[in-house]
Amino acid sequence: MRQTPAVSSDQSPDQVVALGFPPSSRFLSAARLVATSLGADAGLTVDDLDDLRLGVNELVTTLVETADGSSRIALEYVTEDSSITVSGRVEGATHELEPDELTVRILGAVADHYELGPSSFVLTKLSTLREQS
Amino acid sequence: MAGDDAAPTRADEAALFAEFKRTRDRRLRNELVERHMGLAAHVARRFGRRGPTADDLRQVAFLALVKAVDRFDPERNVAFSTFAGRTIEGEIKRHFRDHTWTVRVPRSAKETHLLIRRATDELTQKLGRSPTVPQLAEHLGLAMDEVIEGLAAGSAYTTTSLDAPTGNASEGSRQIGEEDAEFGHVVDLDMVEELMRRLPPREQEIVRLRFYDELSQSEIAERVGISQMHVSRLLRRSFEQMRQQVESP
Repeated sequence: MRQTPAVSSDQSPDQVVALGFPPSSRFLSAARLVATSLGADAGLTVDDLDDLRLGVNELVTTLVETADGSSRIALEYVTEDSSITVSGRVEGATHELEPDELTVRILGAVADHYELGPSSFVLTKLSTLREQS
Repeated sequence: MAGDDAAPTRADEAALFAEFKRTRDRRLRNELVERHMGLAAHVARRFGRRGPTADDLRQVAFLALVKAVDRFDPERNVAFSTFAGRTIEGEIKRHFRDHTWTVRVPRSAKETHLLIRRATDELTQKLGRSPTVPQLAEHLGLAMDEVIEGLAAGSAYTTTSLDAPTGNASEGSRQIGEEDAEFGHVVDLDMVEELMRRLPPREQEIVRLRFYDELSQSEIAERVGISQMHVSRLLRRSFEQMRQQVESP
């Protein structure tokens, strides 16, 4: 759980959307909005999108807490057929991610898969429609 | 167009309308309508390539023509063709406003959010699962972007109900760049159970169904007997309450 999660370097560039911002909670809504838009594009249902937004919120908040003023948060969103993977890392992190138990519970409830590294995360959400088909 | 209206003289037409006003005879009304069908078709054609089928527009124009005949007052110094043309045009514009996206009053993000959540409940009932964004967009006659923005108008957590009057820092009015009120994690022990026990009974049940039974919002809604919108709101509120308890035990 604490190894560095695999990020999306093997993805075709046209499938990757990148977002970078200073470590401040002011940008949480931007991170959620991009996730909502790309998740909708990937065919996630409204329930799936609500879950995705909760997961992104938890993970990006944890990243922001880990960062200091001189570092930056870098997010990558990769959409594939009926799924979205959001990976994030703190560039220049000086502390390790320390998610609390509530964060772990929430992630367990809303994500299909997630991994946490010392200063990075990967979260995947699948469309319910894909699971049903 | 002119050919349809040219046949009767203005004096004939005025006499017919005067008689219709006095008698309200349906046969007379039908004759007046038939005489001006060309006018209705002409106005409909001006809007004919704007979305709905031409047949729909002709139907709207025809019904508007009937209304115009019923309402026309020959004692006013206005030609029927002028009065009817305006009436038909107004009805067609109203039709566009009500049935298509081309002419529509913009809604606030909060209104759109509520509209979307209600439509989600309706479609969840109909489909037996949560709808996709394209399905919501089609159902509501909104663009995909509007649905996405409406969904995003609710944050991950919302303390204040979106149904509550505006004025507080509700999520519906939150702007990108504002400090997130729910921000701030504290490393804690495994006190989730304790946090859950502090929730009201219904919220406890919903959070348990989410955390432990891994039910979707729609499944929880069905189990508990409330709407998906309500489940979504209660979950967000519960998570925030739990988060606040962690920070201020």
